[in-house]
Amino acid sequence: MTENHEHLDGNFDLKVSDKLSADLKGLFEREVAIPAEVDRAILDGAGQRLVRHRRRRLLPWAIPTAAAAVIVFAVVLNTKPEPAKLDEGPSPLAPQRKAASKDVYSYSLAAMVSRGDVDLNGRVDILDAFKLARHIESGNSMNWKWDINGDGVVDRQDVDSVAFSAVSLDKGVL
Amino acid sequence: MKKLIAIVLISVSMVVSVGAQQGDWDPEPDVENVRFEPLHIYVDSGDSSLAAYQFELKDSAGLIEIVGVESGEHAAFSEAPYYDSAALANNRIIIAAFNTTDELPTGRTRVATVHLQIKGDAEPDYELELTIAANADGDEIAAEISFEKGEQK
Repeated sequence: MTENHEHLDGNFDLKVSDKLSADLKGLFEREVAIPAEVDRAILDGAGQRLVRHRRRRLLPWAIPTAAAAVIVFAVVLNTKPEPAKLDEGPSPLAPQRKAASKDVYSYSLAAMVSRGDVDLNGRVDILDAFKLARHIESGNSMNWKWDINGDGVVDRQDVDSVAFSAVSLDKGVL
Repeated sequence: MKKLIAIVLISVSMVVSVGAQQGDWDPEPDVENVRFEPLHIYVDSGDSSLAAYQFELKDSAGLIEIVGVESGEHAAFSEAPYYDSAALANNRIIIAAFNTTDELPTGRTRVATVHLQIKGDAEPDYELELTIAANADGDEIAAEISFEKGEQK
């Protein structure tokens, strides 16, 4: 190998003529002027290509997002609110129940229905309204439990409340 | 993009089918005819005066839709009776009224008229039950309840 190098070094003349050197310099060192229009066209083309790529990148996110939105929409549509429990009576656990607003609501409704039972026969019907109306007309002393709507007075509005409770479709015999 | 459209369409069709199965979006059944009929409700309290009543009406055939309630013929029950407004557009209703005066009806008296919309040509299967009838003292009395169909329109 060393011998070969020596052989090559010995055979080649590495000197270049001045003219060839100048020509080569002129060929490789020359600055090529790129027109501004060409420059702008290249940049615009690259920009459009990048935008297309960005749109394509959105699709993998958009598909699961749209599917999830449709599923959530379906769940919301098919979810029905639970009705308030009307048959729940007074309970020793009432203070604890006040912690949950739903239970407070059902408890207060049950208490209101219970208070509408003027004749204390265990149910609220038109006779409770009738007897409360008679009681109001007689001018006798009132029981605070008959203030069904809680406005501080026992009057015709409480009678109406009892009557409407009696005809509520939540109960019935048929 | 085509995949996205396909997924959305499939999901929407699934939602529609689930909703329809649960009866949420049940379309109205096709009916040939719709007619309107008043149903007069009578209570016969015999010799006792009638101060309060409460009854329940239902069509077990599911053909009726209650569209209105009219008061009774006697002055004691000339005001609109109590009923749940949710009964309108329903096939079941509870109606009640009372009067605390001394001017009360005895015998057979029309206490209310229920206006109905009946779907189809078949006859409704009415169930009528008197749950309360009371005299002026608020004591429950024996009484009979019945109905008569009014003129159809």
